[in-house]
Amino acid sequence: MNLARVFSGLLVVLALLVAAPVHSAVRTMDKIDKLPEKDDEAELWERARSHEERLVRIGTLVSHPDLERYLNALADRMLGDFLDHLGVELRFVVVEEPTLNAWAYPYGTIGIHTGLMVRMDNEAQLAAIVSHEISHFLQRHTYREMLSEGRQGLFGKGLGLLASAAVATQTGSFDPGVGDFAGDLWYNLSTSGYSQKNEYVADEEGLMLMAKAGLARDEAIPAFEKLAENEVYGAGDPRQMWSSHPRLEDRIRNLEKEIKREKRRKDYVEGLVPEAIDYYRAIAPAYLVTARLDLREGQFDRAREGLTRYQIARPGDPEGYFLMGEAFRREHPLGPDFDEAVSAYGMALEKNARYADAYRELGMAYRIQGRVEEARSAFERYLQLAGSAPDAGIVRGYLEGLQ
Amino acid sequence: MKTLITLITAICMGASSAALAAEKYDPYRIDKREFRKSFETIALAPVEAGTALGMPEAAKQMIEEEITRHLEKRGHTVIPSSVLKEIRQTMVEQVGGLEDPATGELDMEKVQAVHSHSMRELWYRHDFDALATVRVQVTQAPAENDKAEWDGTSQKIRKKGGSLKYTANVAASTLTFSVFDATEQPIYINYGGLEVLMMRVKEQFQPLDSSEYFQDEKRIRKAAQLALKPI
Repeated sequence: MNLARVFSGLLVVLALLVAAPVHSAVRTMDKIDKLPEKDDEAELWERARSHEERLVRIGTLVSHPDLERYLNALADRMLGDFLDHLGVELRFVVVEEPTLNAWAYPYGTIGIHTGLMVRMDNEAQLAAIVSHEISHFLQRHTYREMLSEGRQGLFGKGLGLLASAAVATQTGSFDPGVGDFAGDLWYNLSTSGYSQKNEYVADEEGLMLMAKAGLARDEAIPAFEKLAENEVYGAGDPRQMWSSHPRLEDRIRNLEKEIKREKRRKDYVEGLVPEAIDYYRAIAPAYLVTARLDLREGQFDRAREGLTRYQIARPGDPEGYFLMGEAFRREHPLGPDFDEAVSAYGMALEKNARYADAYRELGMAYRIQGRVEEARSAFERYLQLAGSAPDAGIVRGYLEGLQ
Repeated sequence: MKTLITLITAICMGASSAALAAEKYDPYRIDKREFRKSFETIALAPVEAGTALGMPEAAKQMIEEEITRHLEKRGHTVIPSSVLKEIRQTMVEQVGGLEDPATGELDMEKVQAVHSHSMRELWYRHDFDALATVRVQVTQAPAENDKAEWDGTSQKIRKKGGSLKYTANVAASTLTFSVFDATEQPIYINYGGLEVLMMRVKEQFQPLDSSEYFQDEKRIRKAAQLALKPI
């Protein structure tokens, strides 16, 4: 079946769903030949771009070409050449942030946190979230929301909080002042969501995009349920808000209803639940990035969960084992039990006998336990391998203290 | 011109800051009872201040005295900051100084190494439950009609000129007192306003000369008391 025809039909149905008077002014993408269509939409894009640039400047948006390529390939399977006539390219930016969040800029850039990628169990679950955000873009929901009476005055907080959270990641402190910089952009993004109607539209269109890629729509339910996991962040942390994506429970119920309805159709085709291990391999760098962030935040269980997946994906890489050791060590830095940390450092050395940091940490653990000879041997090996490391002098000091 | 711009900016920002200040703040990241029960012995890190403030050692000492007095009164045992300071000093020597010998600039990898190892060494050598850090830095204090109010304190900000009705944000110093557990996670963070760093002279705000900072012992001690008040 021609993909463009599928989308034409789909978008007509969706246009009817969002047929509030103000929304009727915004035509669906199959009805227009360029984006942005109007001056005020172009202005909205500019303002959103300045927010994205700001995140790049403060070093939060770090390019991960492999991850971005993977996300692009996934989006291609869902969209095909649908956007070609508009001259707009869908693009992904991967944000190093341990929380679960994704959002759509109005010009087709989808932001996604590594924390969200690693918490999904398989590609279908990731697709559920990504397709939802793609739908916000396809439906020009930001622009619709901007035009929607009563919501204009609230625009800006959403992006402000994103920027603030980004600063919090960098500095360890929440800076509400960053919100001022973001200006009056839009309120209802990933923090508070779009209007209920637009969220439902994106949920339902997301399911159709998943089907288009041959993925099991049932996986959308656990994917959305996982968004609640941001609750691990304490009260007062702005990132906790992402766990209360508006009416999350309502939307999960709506998705369940929609999936049931789809299943009653005679032409319903059950999609695939792709192999988890393929997913782990595809997003492997995200596990390491997020584990380091989780360690910094004291989220040791989360770090270990992600690192276990990383070890499955890349069993030969010592770094996954070293960081696993760090997760055990940092949770109980003074012991009394060092077995798990020591074992993980040992595994890192099995993979690469020249992995210097693992020797240093073994030395530190043995020193606390009073295992002097083992500590000496580990420190000496560290200094052989990393004699010019910034902390080499300190480790020499430990070694002298062992006499 | 610069000060006029400061005044205008300050006035524009006043309202939103006042709204933020009105929110109730809970300094505890864990249950308050657990704080008292599980964190009996607290080690102090040396008081740090932004370099622009040029905080004298005597002022740092006053803050540490207040903190120690308060914590001991509440039944905690305190390990003085001199212990960590000595460990740090030894490590700085072990890494051959923190500056890059070629450029004379701080070598951030060495700074990080000394920071991380000194904290671990403190935990290794001493039996304590939590580490407290103190940092004095510049903040924005909301002001209304010549009175700035921030982080539990207030101060008159008119040096010269008749009375004016306005709202503004002025530069001020504030003290942040944070307590971390063994996994380096914060269990308590609170603030105590110290003093304003600018005053109104007629229709402009003028920054104070740095020699005027930290002259008021009462304000210095009060900042520490405010930050520790909920404990």
